[in-house]
Amino acid sequence: MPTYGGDEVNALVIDIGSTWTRAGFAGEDLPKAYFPSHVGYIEKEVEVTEASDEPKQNGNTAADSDQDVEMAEETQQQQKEEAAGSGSFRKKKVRDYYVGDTESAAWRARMEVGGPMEHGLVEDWDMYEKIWEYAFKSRLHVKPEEHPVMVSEAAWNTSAHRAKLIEMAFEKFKCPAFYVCKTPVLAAFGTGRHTGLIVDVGGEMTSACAVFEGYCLTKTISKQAIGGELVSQQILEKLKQENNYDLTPLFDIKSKAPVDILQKPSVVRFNRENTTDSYLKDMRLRAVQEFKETVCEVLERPYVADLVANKPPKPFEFPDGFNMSAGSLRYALPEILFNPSQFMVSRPKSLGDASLVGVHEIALKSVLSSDVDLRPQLLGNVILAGGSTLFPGFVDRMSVMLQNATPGSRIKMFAPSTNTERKVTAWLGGSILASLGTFHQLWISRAEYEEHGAAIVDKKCQ
Amino acid sequence: MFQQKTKQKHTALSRELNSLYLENQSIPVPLDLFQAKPKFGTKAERWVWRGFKSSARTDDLALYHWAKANEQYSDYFYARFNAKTKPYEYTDEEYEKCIKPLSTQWTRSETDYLLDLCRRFDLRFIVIHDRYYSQPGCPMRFEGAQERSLEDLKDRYYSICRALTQYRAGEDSRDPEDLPLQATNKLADDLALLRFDKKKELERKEYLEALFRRTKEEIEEEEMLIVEARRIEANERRLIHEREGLLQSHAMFEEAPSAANISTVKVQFSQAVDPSAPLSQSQSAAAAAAAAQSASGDSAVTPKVRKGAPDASAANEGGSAARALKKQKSMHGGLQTPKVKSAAAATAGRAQSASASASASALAGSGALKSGSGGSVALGSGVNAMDSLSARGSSTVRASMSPTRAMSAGIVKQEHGDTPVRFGPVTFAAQEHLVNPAVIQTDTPETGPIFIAQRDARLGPGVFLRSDKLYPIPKNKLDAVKQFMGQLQLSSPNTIWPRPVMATAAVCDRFDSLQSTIIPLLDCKKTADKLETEIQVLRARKRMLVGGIGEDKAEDILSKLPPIDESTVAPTYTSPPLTPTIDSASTLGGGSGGRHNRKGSTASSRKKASRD
Repeated sequence: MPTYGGDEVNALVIDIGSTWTRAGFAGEDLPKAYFPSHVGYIEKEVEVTEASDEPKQNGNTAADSDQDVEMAEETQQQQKEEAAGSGSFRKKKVRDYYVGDTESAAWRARMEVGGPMEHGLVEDWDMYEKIWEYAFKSRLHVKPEEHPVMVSEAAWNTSAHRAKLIEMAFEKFKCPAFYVCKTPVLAAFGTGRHTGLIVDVGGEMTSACAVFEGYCLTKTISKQAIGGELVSQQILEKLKQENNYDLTPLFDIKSKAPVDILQKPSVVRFNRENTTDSYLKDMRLRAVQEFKETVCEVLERPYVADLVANKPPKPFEFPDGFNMSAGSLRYALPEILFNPSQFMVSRPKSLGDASLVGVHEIALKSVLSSDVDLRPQLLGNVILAGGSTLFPGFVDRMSVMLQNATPGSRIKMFAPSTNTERKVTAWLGGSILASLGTFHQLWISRAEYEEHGAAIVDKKCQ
Repeated sequence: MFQQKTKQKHTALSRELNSLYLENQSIPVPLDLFQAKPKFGTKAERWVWRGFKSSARTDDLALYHWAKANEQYSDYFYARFNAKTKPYEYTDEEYEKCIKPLSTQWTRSETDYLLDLCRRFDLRFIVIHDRYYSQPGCPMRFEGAQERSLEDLKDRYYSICRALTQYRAGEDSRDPEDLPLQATNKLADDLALLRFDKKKELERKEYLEALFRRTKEEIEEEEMLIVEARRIEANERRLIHEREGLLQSHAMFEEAPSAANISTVKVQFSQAVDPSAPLSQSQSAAAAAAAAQSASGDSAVTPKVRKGAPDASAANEGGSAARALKKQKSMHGGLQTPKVKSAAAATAGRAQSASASASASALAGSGALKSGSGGSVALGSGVNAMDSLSARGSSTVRASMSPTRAMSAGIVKQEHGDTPVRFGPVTFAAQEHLVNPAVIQTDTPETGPIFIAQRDARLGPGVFLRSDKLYPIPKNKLDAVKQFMGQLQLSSPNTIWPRPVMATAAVCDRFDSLQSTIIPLLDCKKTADKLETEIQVLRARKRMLVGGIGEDKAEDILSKLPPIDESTVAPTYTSPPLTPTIDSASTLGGGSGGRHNRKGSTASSRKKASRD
């Protein structure tokens, strides 16, 4: 029989995060598809007949040429009846969706860009479904009705959300079997551990959670809406404040000329009409993402301004030609993750009045809310996941901060050494789990779903 | 099959030789090694995409995987790993009878719910506690009621288990007396495994919590204390070790004056002065008996012996003295008469008697040393072990000996003023004769019993110089020994290695015993020198410490301090045995004499004078 406890049943694993989606086959070491969770959509009104509830096929502008755009079919959204309609007709808002890296980034008039998740929970199910569809059909080229599907969910996911999820999997995609597993548990499995403290610094959220023998301990979850995206926004803010510089994303640049350091970029723009704010913002974040990845670092020790001043600056040129030599800036901005209240350039409204804490404090809070017997195990197995942990020096810094906070404990950090793996840690855990021979007894089958309804997901997926 | 078939066959010549005169000879390559398709012995197995069902599942979901076509399984391979814990279950009757009385705070439904969670989470109480209020069917929490803690849940579960185990054992109709021992033991074991003490557990967690919340400073302080404690321990060990070494160096000379039949001899190996006969066999046998007696508990300690050292130190001293004696014996192995066995017995006895009068023996030893430094070396240690042993601790033996000997035992206690140090004459034990060597009796068929020198009997076949067979001196001590012998005015024909001038068997015997006395003496001096410097260092430190307040005031403060409890202090050398040691050693080396009390040396020199 199979070796190493593995038994492939061709399961699909999909992990949709706030910024990136990973999808692939169980048993593989990297997801086949890795694309942004942000989806472009164009909203428009169509007239539908009262009876059929079908939109009139009158202007499907998107789904014409490209194969990738086949997703961009019309769907009903926010049924808003227009009083003006005459009995048999009413106006209805439908959206054309553009999913995928290139699709969502291409400029279209009036195209909005957004993600389906908010604070780790699915808010826009329509969009969520489109991502599934795109991943399975356009990227993996499989029929979901032939494969068991494993999905990740936030540790704090609600019963209602899970019910909706299983409903979608069985009703819409007709999966033969389905399982939903919490991201921290998958991240722990992805690092080869069943017990540990998982610190996930994602695009939108930072969360910490204790996992004990494959069970996520709900009482230890602590989270905060500060992540990589916020750091990117703060970088833009900082550039605006200090250098009076507004980044022009690539899509708007018709031509550019080289300029001196810190000089205003000389750019000829397209000035395209009907560019939405959300699209512009998304494109800017993409540009700044590069700045973050190439230049920004985290100090290995607690932040000291003098120490940072001595670090060598790094040059960087933005897509519009604006170039700078980033010195202390490149350390100060990622410091938001560890000391948000001090290093935040301007506090975004979305954060409200909540008091903000650093990543290490979130982790510590999680440890302190766990049983005292468990703490040494947790601190000895601190697992880092999420793209925002990829700042150079982040792992060391985290270790130092935790060690300072708990001087008597032995701290050991576990983070996949390669960047790619750290970005897909949770997916990897799902891939491992769904290809284990012993796991196959845990799938929720269609028969079980039909017998018990959506409530089965709470019973079987702990 | 070769690539190129040669037309002629060169059977007579080898291929290599052919290639020398025939051009374009290609290298033959066997073609059959290269095949487009490898051939395997077996046929490839067929794999099929096959559905499977697992007995670990409650439904009949068929998942598909690749499997060998010819392999059939009755059940899914991994179903065997579907192991579940079986928590205790109870019937309605059992609940009413034994679980209900346990606690009033738990209802039946909540207990059922708890056991259900135990089953679902395989007794992972951490998870059970985490999910206790979030699972379907979770119990209502009354207003103001406390949330169930992890310990509450554990306590409830284990108390149920204990109650059930006991109840079920009680249900057993047999009388507990009649039950096989095994069954009773098993019940006890089961109950022991199910023990859970909530109070203890809470206390333990409190401690853990405190441990977890230690600050950096607290941890550092703790670590420092641990290091300090280790250092103190190590110091103590070192101190004990050093003390032992000190005692060993003394043990060598402890018995010397009492055992010696002292007579004065001018040490010149060419002349034998003392004519007195060696100790007879019977005399030493009597001594051995006396030693045995003292060992058996009737340790007739000489009235002159001073008591007072703490017991621990006495035992310590006794032990090390005994060790030293053994060592000495091994050094003199060749010289010993066949009385070794009884000597060993006596050694054991000696250890006891020595422990009884340990500080006294130290005194005696140092006394002997002094006598040596005073110009005469008592070579009692060179005498066979029996004699030295027997004399120790037995006044009867001494009484039977000559008055001179008894006096010599009393050397220690005799009070005398300072006398200048003198070198040269050495006091020898009389039985160490320069004419009569130690002999053994041998029977030969031709001559009948004859006596030959013991040391010669030891020699194997061949021709030797007797002086070559002297005991070697350790190389690192050679210079010191030579210097010492020079001070004793011993002439030696060999400048590299001290040798007697006339190497008769008797002279060689004496030479060996002299050497083996000198070496421990030198060790002793080394220790003494070390102690001397230590004392000086301590004195200097005292001066430094006292310096600020003045000597008188310091004494005043010291006298006000509570006296040190001797029993709690580790055994230490009190000053009386220490000072003479230093004296003797420092004078041995020809150091600054006269400053310290030199009781022993004066005593021996006086006696010598009187005898002369």
